Amino acid sequence: MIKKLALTAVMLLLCGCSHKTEVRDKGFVRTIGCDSGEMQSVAVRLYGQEEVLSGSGDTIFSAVENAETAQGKTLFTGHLELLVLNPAEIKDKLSVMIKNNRISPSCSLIITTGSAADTVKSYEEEELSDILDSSSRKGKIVTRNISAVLNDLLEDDSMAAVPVLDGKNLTMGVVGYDSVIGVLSEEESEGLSWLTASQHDIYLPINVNGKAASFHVRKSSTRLTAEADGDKIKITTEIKINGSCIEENISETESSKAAAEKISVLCSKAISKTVTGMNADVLGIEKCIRSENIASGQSWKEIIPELEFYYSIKIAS
Amino acid sequence: MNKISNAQLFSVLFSVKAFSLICSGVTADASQMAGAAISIALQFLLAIPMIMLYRHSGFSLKKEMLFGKFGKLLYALFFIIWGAVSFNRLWGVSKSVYFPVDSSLACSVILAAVCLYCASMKFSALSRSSLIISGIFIFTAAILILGAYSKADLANYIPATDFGSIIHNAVRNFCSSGELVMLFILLEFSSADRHRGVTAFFVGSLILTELVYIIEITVLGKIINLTDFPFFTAGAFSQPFSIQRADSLYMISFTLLCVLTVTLQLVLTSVLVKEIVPDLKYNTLLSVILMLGLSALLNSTGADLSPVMGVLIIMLSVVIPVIMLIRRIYNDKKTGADSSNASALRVQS
Repeated sequence: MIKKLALTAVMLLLCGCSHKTEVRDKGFVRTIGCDSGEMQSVAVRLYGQEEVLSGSGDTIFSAVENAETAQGKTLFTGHLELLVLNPAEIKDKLSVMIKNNRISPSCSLIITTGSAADTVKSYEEEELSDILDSSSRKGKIVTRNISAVLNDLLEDDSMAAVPVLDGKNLTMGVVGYDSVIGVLSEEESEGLSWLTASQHDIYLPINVNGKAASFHVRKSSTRLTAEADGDKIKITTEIKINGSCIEENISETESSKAAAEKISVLCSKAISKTVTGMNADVLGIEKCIRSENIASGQSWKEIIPELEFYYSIKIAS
Repeated sequence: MNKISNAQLFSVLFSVKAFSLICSGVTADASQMAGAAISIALQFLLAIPMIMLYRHSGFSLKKEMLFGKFGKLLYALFFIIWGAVSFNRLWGVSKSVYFPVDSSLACSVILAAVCLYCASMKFSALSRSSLIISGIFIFTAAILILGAYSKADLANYIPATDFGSIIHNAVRNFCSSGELVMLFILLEFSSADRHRGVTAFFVGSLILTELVYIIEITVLGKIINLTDFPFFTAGAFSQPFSIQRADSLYMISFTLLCVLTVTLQLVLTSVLVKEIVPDLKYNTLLSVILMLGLSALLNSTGADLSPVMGVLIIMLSVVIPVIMLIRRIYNDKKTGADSSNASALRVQS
């Protein structure tokens, strides 16, 4: 029995022996910055290397191939961590990447208002990923991967929320097929984070009776529900928070009330800028409505005037 | 040819179903899910006449096949076409999904050689290995579920659908379920209490189909329309490990299922051909060459054999077994009446 099991294990392990490339001969790509114009130009940053490779070509993959010729290693994009794109032809570029299967669909995406290749070159190897991670940890932005963004772009509204690097400022923005529709302010971006993602271990500045305090959010979860209410569609965002005020002389009830108000204001700002202002469904409202079998046959634009937003913020210490 | 147990009957059919499912380019949605459920329920009902037929004492498909050798030829032809379609699926997946092979043709020829070797073993070897392969596939499916759990968005599932599209999808699903034809032949080799293995297969088939569809819908969302093979894309999207390349597991599973499926078609074709032309040598080799040739033809012309498969499945899994059952019941009654008349005459005399 042990021999049979060992033989099976060896057979499974041998599957990788054909067409092998030694690890030292491979260049593992960490970040790609890609600009679309008449030609695609890319800046490729590898794991553990300071030098940034550049190339251009008719497609993003031919551009990466041309970047590969600048050095001896075979580039491997399967562990790509971050993709930086300029706004042109976003949907087409993401579709090609998803269909190609050579790039992990879970790699993060940043859109730049300037040149993506120059952005990759201007930051250190881990700097851009670190900024993205740290902003996400603080609840300032929501990291989005290429599959999630493409999924949103394929929805009825053809828009998606994505981190946008405007100069040195990283906040959330709304992109269409090939343009940035709008960039959110820091508060709006924070509101969008509350509406779309769970928060962990963040400090929310609050004001209780004119006194500044910090509310420690240990963890939070968000749930969106849709309900038909006559001619209107009631969208309720339920945010459950586990946290408390770190200042001892402030009552728990007052601090919780202040935190709930603060979060409601942030969420309202995010909704008025994105859903009302840009007609963008960045919260997955349409999917939520469709899954409840409400407003069938109506397009997203017909649904927007019928929406009414409510917040239910539950805080437990 | 050896007898196969109910567990082996289940694992053989389950593995073949799993291969069809993961190679399917069907865009899953609510109507597909409902259609598949109706189709599987219908297949289960149609399997009842087959089980009833085999319950008759002394029934042997080898001796009582409708239309004799021509009937056997039809079944052999079906398995050759299905084998060719299986090779075609392999070509399609190896082209579309990132597969570490230089040529799809080379990949098919190597797999054909492996299948030929496996077919040269006893049928019992194949049925036993199907238990291991189905086990590996269930492990793969468990990994997929584990990865999909955090990535799945239930809002992607839209229940709204219409009756027409459900029926359309049920018919399409039925016309691509060749396992029913295979079941009819395999029942000849299975042991008593066949209904246990058959019931387990249809229950397993229903659970697997609905599970794969719901994972594809909830994980892929709208991207499902962009992909050629949603199962592999869902696998790539739902990476449960930090290494992000769990899809290699799906490829191993896919390759094993492909070998099992094609080998099974080869073994069954070879058995049937041997009964039609007992003196024919190298019938397994001839069958695999026919499968590869037909597959190359399908690949170059881009012809869709689904309607042909659909007609053959209905004829071989519905029409022929039902006629054989009616004929058998009629003959049994006639024999019973004749024997009671004879005994009545004996009593009178």
